[in-house]
Amino acid sequence: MTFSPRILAWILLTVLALYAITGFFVRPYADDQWFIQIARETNPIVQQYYTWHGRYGYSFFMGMIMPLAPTFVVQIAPAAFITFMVLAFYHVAKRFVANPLLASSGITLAFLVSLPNIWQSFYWYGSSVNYVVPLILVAAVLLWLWR
Amino acid sequence: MALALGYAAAGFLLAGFSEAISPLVCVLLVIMWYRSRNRMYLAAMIGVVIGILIVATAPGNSVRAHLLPPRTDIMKAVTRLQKAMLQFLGNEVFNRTPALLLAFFIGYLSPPKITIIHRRLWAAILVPASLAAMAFTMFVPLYLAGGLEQRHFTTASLILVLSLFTLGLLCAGSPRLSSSS
Repeated sequence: MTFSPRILAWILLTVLALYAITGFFVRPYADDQWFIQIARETNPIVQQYYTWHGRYGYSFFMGMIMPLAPTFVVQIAPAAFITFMVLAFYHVAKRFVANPLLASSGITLAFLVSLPNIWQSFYWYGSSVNYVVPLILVAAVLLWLWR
Repeated sequence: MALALGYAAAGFLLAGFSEAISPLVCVLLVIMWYRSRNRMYLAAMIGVVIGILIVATAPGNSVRAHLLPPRTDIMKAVTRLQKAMLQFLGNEVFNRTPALLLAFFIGYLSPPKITIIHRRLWAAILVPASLAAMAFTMFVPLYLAGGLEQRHFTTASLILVLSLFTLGLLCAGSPRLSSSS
């Protein structure tokens, strides 16, 4: 029995699109609100470095990017993360398997479904910046190194 | 030189997030450097190490530590880690079965482009290595913050999915998908 990998990949991408659309119902929450307030008063990276933790990459995304348009950024972030994950895994998988689109969409969907609490890990901007963004960056740096 | 600086900068940027991920990236870069002997991996690793040092020596860490529950000793943290690992894996196996099956079968059904030799050996290395990586990502917040929130399992979830995908790839047999995508 032969399956079409292209059809299977498009089914998985459609499900991923639904996950991305769900992100448009997200609003800034908890730490997101806190960073919006800090960004109005001071430099969030310096403030966080001296009073909370040294994660400068996290503070940059939370304090410099998100406050530019808080609601828009937190709503678009899940769709952006899904897109970047599929693209990153696609380019990594292209080196190893014959159906990279199927592999990348399958891995991304399996990752989202496997999360113990998808709201906390993925849809909440304050958390996903800390845990999802570096995973995408790891893949991007590896791809750059493999050129 | 400029390229090496670029890789170091990328590694530095990467280290500015979760403390649980950067050391794993260092290990990954060392393995890749060992296999390829490409010095650019070392340049990226130097960037990651500098980033880790900057994150670890931030004055805010001690301020934060005073507001969090006191740190338990390492042995107690390891005992709690074993429990957390079992709970996480149990939850994944019993409550997230479709995701794990999807990861495995997508790997199983994807024809590899490269010839994989010593499949059993790779599988035997993959399982303990991924368990160790998952344990590390849980141990760091458990030790530093005194407890685990569900978001702390994010990296472990991805490692689990990638391991099952790779395991599927290693176990691949028939039926296969046609490779004409």
